Amino acid sequence: MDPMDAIRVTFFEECAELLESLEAGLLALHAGTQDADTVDAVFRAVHSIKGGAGAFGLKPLVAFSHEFETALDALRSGRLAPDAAAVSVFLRAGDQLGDLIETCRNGDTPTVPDTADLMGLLAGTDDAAVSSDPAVDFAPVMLDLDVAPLFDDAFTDMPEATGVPDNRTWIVTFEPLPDLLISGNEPLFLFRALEVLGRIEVEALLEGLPPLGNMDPQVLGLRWMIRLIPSAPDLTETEIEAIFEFALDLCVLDICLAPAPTIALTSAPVTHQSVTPPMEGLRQQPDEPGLDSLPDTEPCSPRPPDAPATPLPKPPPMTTIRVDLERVDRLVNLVGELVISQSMLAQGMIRAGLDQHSEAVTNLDDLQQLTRDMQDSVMSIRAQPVKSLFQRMTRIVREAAQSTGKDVRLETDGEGTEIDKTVVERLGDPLTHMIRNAIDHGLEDPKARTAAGKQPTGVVRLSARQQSDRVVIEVSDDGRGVDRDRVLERAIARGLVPAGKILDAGEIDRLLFLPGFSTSETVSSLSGRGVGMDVVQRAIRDLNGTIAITSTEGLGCAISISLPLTLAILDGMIVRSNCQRMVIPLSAIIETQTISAARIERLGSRQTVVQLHDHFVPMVDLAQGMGFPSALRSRSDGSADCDAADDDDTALLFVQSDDSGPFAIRVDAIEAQRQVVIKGLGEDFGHVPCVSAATILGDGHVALIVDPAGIAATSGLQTKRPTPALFPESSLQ
Amino acid sequence: MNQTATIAPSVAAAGPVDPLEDRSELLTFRCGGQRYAVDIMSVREIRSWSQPTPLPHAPPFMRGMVNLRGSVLPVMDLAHRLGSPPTDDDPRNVIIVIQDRARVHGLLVEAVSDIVHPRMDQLQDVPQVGDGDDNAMADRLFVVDDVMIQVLLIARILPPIGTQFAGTMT
Amino acid sequence: MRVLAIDDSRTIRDMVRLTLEREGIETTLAEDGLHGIEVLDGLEKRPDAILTDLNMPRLDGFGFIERIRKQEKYSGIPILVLTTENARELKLRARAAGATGWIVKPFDPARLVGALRTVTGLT
Repeated sequence: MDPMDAIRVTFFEECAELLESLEAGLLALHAGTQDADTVDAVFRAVHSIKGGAGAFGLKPLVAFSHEFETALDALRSGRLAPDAAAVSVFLRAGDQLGDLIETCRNGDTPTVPDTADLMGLLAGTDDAAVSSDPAVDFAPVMLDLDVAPLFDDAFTDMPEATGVPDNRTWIVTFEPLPDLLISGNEPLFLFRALEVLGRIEVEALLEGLPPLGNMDPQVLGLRWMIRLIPSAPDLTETEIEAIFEFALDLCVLDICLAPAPTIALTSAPVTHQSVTPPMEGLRQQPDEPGLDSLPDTEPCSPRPPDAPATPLPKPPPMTTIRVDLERVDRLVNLVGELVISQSMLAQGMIRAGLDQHSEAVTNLDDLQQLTRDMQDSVMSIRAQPVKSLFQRMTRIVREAAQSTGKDVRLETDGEGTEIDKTVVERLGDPLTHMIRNAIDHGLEDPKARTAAGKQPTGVVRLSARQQSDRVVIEVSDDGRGVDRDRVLERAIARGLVPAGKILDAGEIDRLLFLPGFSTSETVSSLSGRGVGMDVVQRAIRDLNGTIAITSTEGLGCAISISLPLTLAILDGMIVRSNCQRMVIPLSAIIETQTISAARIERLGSRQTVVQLHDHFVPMVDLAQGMGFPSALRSRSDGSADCDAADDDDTALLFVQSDDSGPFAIRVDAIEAQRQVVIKGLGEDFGHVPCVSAATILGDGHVALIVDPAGIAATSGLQTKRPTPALFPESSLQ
Repeated sequence: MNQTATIAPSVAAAGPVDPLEDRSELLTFRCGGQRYAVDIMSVREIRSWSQPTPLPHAPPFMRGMVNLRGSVLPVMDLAHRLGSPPTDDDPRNVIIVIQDRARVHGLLVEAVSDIVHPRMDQLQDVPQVGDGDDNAMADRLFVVDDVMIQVLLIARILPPIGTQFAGTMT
Repeated sequence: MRVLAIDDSRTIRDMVRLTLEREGIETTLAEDGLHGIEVLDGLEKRPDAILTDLNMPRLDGFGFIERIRKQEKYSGIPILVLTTENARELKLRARAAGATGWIVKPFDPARLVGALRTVTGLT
């Protein structure tokens, strides 16, 4: 990748972070925070976006962030109060900024959003007059470097460089003011830079030197006269002056053409006074006459100089490094391998008949503990707090509140809870949908709330917490709760539930997750986008998560999502079917039964059903469902003892799939329940039906991870069943 | 465990010094009773046989997947892919791990024979039969010790990405 | 030449590094004023020049320059300020703190390198 492209990527990544801190800061202001640090951080976020945008020539972004920054500067300097009205203008501007950045990132041509509101904020302040076209004091071009004009006029009385035809000698008189050295400007280097323009002869003029006793080592008492014989005939005064660009306010500089003909000086060596280190206590006065006497060549805004920042005591910063995600994933993979190798070693030791109490076995236990710790640490590298995700939701709440005309307050909890980065990324859409749903369907309008004796402002709560090796994220509201009569009515109307069927409250609530179920009569602009909660459920399942709903009529509704900490590891049931070992995700399994305890009936010649509680559900043999021929070659390496299916071991796993009701998978044996490292099947494999990924078992063999939904589909179970409302929490977790 | 065979430079490779760019370097092997070769540059390694885990609904020539140091390697039965009967399970079989750009595949073959350096002029285009098959998997052939060796084009052996299982669902 | 560049924007840091390293200038980066001081104190050899942003969290550019100018061991190091605003007031404050010169962002790579060469006397 072109380095600039890489930096562009960085820029947009950084923008996302800056937008987050912008929003966090604005929300804090919204909540009443007044401290200067928050305002500074907000200002700086916009400022940095502007800076980066300029570097990439993203003019509309520069222009908008400039306006934004101008308004924020008024806030920062106290000319504008952070009242609710102002902060909501800023929040909207933040949203607009986010959209604008997104447009720029996509390479689309953006337009500058309307800044009337931002400008409106400044109307009552002194800034109104100076709020200007950004091009005036911020030109988004790569060449804007020219600071010299600031000091240009100080020297307008100098002789004009009129067109001189030949290489006439210039005479530069340079008299440093006392602060030149302290500022880090070094006369010797300036002279060296002059040498680029031609040959120089330098003479130190000593007449102004104070008596030795009065000499200040920080101050150069010298003046220099430099004769410059230019190598190019058309050298101008401006070019010479440019060399002294940074020193113009710290010296008296005189540049003029030598009267022709030049009398060559005896070449004097550069008299460079050795500079002793600056001494403590020598401070510069900010109101140095040399600076004050500088003419003001720019319209100077009347803002007072900011007070010098007094660093507040803060916790030491965390040192971070940025690492390519690929490298982390490789590490995760390798540690996964380590876990596998180690369990292979353990199995080998057992086969070798080592005593349980032998030293080797004890050491192996230690190794196992270390490996587990290592795995945890490696996984934590990929972990990310859900904070950024939660922050994104504040915007969703704002927008939803606005479009529904409801008053909504978002409360968040557990923002520091960490979860795999990919999970965080893929939770955005489901959470968005759940929150829109809660506001659209759950919360009442202020009038209805007041009538119900509630506060007019509805509350949506978003929380996260870790529970052993899973993270639970919950979206709850204090609205009216699920309208069960209507839900049931609709489900019956849609043929999802047979008329007259009695369902308990929980079963009715879970109907919301059925595909094609839409709770709203009128398709509202919010949740009626053709997606229902079934899509949310599918997204959560794809993350190996589970979803559950609890609702109390009149008091509100809560939907909780339970997710694994990482996508790299799956809790699975290792099963055997037709000499093949396969893994079934634990999150899909509702219940297990031994074949002897199961009540199995045949329907016609082909279909078999089995009883699950008070229903009969279809039963599918795993190997057959996967499409494996019934007589599979046995393993030639004999690593898996594959006897003919022993009926005693035969078991049924009841699984839930999205498109069908629950069904049973028959396996020859359940071997173990354990965590497996997920190995994605690359695109090389194309789409493999019934398989979501693979893993490598302790003996080094590859095992498939079964996708129950795929089995349901290929086995023809996808027809909607009249008894779908079984969404028990997995009994295995 | 599986072992990686190292490929020793062949004696047959030694000969009159020719500019190397005039020669191609090919790995020859036996498969379905015939001799084939692939460009050595596309060969990543050669592994001893291990039982692949079958994939559901896969074309018959896809034997499944094996563990390649922690990644999952698809393995195809090359003989079957080229129209011969399936190769029997045999611990003496080997898996040639080939790479075509980002794709890594295992080719199940009977045995690896040699590395040869035929001169370009020894390589002959595959004669077109009938109206010509653009999808022929071999594009060149040459003769060593009176045995014809077909040079396979890796890109044509590998099924197109994502489509290899299409239409095979029952 | 060795340069320490301080900016809280990763984008700007990356661009500065790219610009300088293309010219063979050894570049060390820091994220804010305090970090800059930490990094500076940890360097084996003091840099030939320092580039610093002004508006940064924790310790801004002015504060950074003031602190550096107080330390004898860093005397005379040229410090160029990288600033987004071409504003006189900021320049005066930077000068008062002890800045050597200014570069306005977005910067022209040639001018940045040229300015560094001028103030360090190095090529």
